[in-house]
Amino acid sequence: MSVNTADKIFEDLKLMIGPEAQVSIPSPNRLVITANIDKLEFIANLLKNYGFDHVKSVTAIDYPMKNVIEISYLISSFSNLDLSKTILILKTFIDRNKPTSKSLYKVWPSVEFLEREAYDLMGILFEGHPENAPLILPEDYKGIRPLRKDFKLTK
Amino acid sequence: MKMVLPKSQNSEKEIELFIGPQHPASGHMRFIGRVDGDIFTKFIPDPGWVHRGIEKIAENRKWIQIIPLVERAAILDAANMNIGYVIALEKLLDIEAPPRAQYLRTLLCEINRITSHLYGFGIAGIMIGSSTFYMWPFADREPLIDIAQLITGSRLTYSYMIPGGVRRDLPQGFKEKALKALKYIERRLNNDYFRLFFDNPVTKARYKGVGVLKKDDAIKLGIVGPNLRASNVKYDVRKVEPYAAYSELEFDIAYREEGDCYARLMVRVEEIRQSIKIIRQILNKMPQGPIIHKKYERLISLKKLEEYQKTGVFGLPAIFATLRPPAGEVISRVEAARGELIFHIISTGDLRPYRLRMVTPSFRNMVLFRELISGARVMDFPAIYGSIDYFPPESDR
Amino acid sequence: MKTEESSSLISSIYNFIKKVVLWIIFKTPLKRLRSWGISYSLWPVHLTTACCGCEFGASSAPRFDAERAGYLPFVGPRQTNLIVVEGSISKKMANAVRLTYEQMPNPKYVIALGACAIDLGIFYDSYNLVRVDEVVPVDVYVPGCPPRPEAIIRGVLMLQRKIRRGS
Repeated sequence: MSVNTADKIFEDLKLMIGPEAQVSIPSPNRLVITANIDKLEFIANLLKNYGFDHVKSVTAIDYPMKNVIEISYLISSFSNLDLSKTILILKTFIDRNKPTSKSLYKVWPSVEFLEREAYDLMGILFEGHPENAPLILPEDYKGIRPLRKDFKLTK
Repeated sequence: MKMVLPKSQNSEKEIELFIGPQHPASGHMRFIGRVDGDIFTKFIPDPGWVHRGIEKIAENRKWIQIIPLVERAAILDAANMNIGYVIALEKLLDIEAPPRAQYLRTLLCEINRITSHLYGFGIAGIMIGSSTFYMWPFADREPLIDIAQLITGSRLTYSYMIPGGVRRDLPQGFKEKALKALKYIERRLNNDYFRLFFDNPVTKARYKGVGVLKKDDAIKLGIVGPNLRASNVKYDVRKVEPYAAYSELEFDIAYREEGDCYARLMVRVEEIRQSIKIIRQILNKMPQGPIIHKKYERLISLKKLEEYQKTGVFGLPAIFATLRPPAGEVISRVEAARGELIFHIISTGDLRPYRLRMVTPSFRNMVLFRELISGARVMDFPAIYGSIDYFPPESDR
Repeated sequence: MKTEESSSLISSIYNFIKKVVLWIIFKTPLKRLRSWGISYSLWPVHLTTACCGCEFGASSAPRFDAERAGYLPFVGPRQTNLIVVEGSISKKMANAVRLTYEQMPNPKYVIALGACAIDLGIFYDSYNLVRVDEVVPVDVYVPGCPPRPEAIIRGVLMLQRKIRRGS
């Protein structure tokens, strides 16, 4: 039953989004949408109208060899029981040397502290976020941001 | 007679307060609040005082060494942190634990849920000023910690679940001791706790109508756990995406409609009752069988095989030291005691993970400090803090 | 002239009396009474630093009652004489621990609890932790991850014996 729900969501999203981004199903109950950074807010608004109402996680992954940072939003729903079984991953890629991205705060207010943590630990500036400020690290922290791959741990 | 209040001498009306880590009501974090008279106009949480960098350290550890590392994020709730990580790893390795191991995992998770809620009651009690209600729940955790010690050998940090199953089987005479402990907890919860704290007019005066969280706000802000269920949203990961043995067990989701501090407390009381019901079903329905997947059972060394067949203690074979799961990306979610825990792991087929992302329920609930306490009176702050059940080491990781 | 002589006489009498009183307190058997008093009224301050804090709380709970050793967690640093540093200290928290330690009146003691306080424990290569003995001088180390409440009480008793022996 749950596979049919994910399939139905897959078909609906492909129709709505069209050629703007790619949609795929890698495993049961998980959908992936890969989008360009300019189309991010447009797709986010489509998803919100479809019924996805909160963001669970903002994961930033550093790929130094491909010179990109991948940002993944994990999106799901609390109010709609069919949609809450599925987790949607909205991915986008940004340049590693100029890490700025568009914030999705106006669409989903639940990303506020998650994006702020990505700013603090990975160094990504989110345009449109109300407060790009340190959250977890000390305020006078200088140097490479800890989650980057060129920050090496020493004993 | 008309009351004449003195005029303030300076022009600034607001004071900025730093409620710091050295404070009986702050836990391991700091709060910055602007106070105007008796009301907080703005209240900001300042986390990061217990940040150990678990996500970065995990990129430097082998897969099996991450199990004790992840448990120490929330040491009270170690079994739920453990099972979240192990389920993600099993999805990568594409194996499933046998049925008896699933039931044993569920048993430990439910015991941890009860002890974590009792700890929450203790902190809520002492924040209001009831030191007896700090002593009673902490003392009543001890029979359950003894039960967990019978299964795993340790008080708080179990490291009990490994990919493929669990590490030990139940000892003899376990069922009678567990049922005795559960009967004791049930009697204490239903009689003494209600008479001392939950039906106390002081508690009701401090908790009812304070810190109300409406349903739309809770969904919009992404709140999880009993705080969400107290605002009339029936979301529980154990029903939405069942893991371990939850699909075969009967229990109800505890929820309330008012959304104030008293409702959050009552949801936790109901969850303890449901956990006791689940543990009783597990003890009756536990299937026989192996406790570890046959792929790893075949690899036990000959020296340890005799001990395994006699006592049920599984010594880890050498393959776990060089475990290389195939490349891929997995997401797993479980219902920890404070809410929904997410693990997002990316593997490149190496000895160590490429990226381990862990979103804990306390981190997602942190925004409640700003939303509920801004606009409330200064003495409502300990009451709201105690009812949210926020645990700073879990939030900072 | 007379007032100068009398004031210098008074100040020298005052210094003499002060020396006698200090000798009575610190050198004679009255010193044992003083150490006995300090060792049975070690009050830790309310500062939890990391995850061992829950075993610290459990050691004051009814089953392992640490209060029978005279140990009462109290509110402010100016009225307490013990800091129990539980677990790992991050860089932000090190400032708070140092400030609290400097505010406490003499004589003051520090117990370091857990493997993380000894040598960073399981987080040995973390980027945000510091060692405890770089921040405050430690009297007693209690190993374990987390240490059992019985071990915590044993640590308190060891500190009491150390005080009574004359540290």
